[in-house]
Amino acid sequence: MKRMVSNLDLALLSLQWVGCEDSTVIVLKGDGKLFTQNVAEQLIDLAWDKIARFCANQGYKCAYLYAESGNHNIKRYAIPVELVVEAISGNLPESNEFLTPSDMPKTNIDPDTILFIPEPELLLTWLEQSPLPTYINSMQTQRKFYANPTALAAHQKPPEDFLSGNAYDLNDPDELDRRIRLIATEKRLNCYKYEGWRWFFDPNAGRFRLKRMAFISNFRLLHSFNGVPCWLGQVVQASELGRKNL
Amino acid sequence: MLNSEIKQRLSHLCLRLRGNTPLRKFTPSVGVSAAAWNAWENESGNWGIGNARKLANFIGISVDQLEQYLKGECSLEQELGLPVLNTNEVEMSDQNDVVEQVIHWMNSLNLPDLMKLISAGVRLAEFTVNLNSETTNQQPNPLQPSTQLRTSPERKSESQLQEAELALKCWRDLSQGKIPSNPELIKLAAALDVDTVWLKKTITQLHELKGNEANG
Repeated sequence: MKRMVSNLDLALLSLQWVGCEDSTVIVLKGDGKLFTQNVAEQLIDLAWDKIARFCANQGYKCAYLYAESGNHNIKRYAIPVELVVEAISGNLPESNEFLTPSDMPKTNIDPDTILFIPEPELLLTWLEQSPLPTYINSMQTQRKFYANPTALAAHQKPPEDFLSGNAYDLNDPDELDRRIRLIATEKRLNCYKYEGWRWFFDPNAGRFRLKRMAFISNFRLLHSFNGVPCWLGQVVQASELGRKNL
Repeated sequence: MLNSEIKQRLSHLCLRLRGNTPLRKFTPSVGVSAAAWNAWENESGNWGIGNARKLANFIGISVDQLEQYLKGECSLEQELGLPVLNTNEVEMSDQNDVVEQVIHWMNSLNLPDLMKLISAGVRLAEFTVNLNSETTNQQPNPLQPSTQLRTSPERKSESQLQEAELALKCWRDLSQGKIPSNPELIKLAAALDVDTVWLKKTITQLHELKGNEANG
């Protein structure tokens, strides 16, 4: 029998889950912004157990809901997995299909294939399932057209938020202009080294910040994506440089 | 009959207890009439045993202890066992410093005294929450001068009131032998900025202690 998807399930599906290194997960609104206090408390009343079960299924210890209360104070609601484990008397937590993101198989398409394959044969599923952060931007405006799930996870941002800007947001403008000229003339760049920025959610500040990164990426020219010339970039290697609080 | 020195001490005590709270809102929490309280504040009241007991109950001491204080035989801090805070000598940069000092001092108390203190704190909080809720719900009277608002106690934000009401609800649950629900604990932990698991464990321990107490 098919399960009905409730409004609550839809609300939970639209949340942004930001995994942290300490086995905790930060929960934000679908647009990457903080909840209002009322919405956060409604979610806790109606779905604390679903959120805790999702954490348990994903191997997280605790979910933190961030909300903005009066006078722009930030409140953090902690939903530890222990609460739900205790509530079901030590049994394994049941899965919640509406919260669990689909586990798409990751393809092992050689990055060189994506770099050299003729454009008409390039499949979107390869990009979507690639374990490498992959981006497509307009050559002319640098507008962001596409970021695969690995790229969005690397920036901890939902697509609506991440794709709203252009590539100048996260790159040094002079270097980016130089890189674009190279892509236009060479058609592809292999293991190109450069520095740029990545978003991360700072749990202490309760907001997104930027961190300086060193990248090695492959780039190729796409003659037409969304009807305009674009560049496709795949990050092969990324390492964090000294963190500056911006 | 009260001598002038006792009347003066009683007056100071009453003024200090009431603070900026309007007389008619404050006196029901003590249980004495507004007229009797006003007379104490103006050093013209009598010392009936009924009202004396109500005042002593409100403070949390016996009538004998209250009389000792009024006669100048001890300080109120001694009677209540309150910590001596150097608020006069050291300029406090933040009110939280005083709160932190009190919490530090509370660590030295045994459990029954601690519970007594928490109960008294809950009563005071209930009074403040009720008072603020009334103030918040009041419709402004265009004929009344706005000075009434200035003399009323400091208004709490809606979010602060919600947090205080939640804390009181959890306390009432606990005192009735119930453990607050998980969503309430999650919200209370966020309001108090403490770990949810720790809060749940502490509340469960208090619940067990109360259960043991009830079973003798």
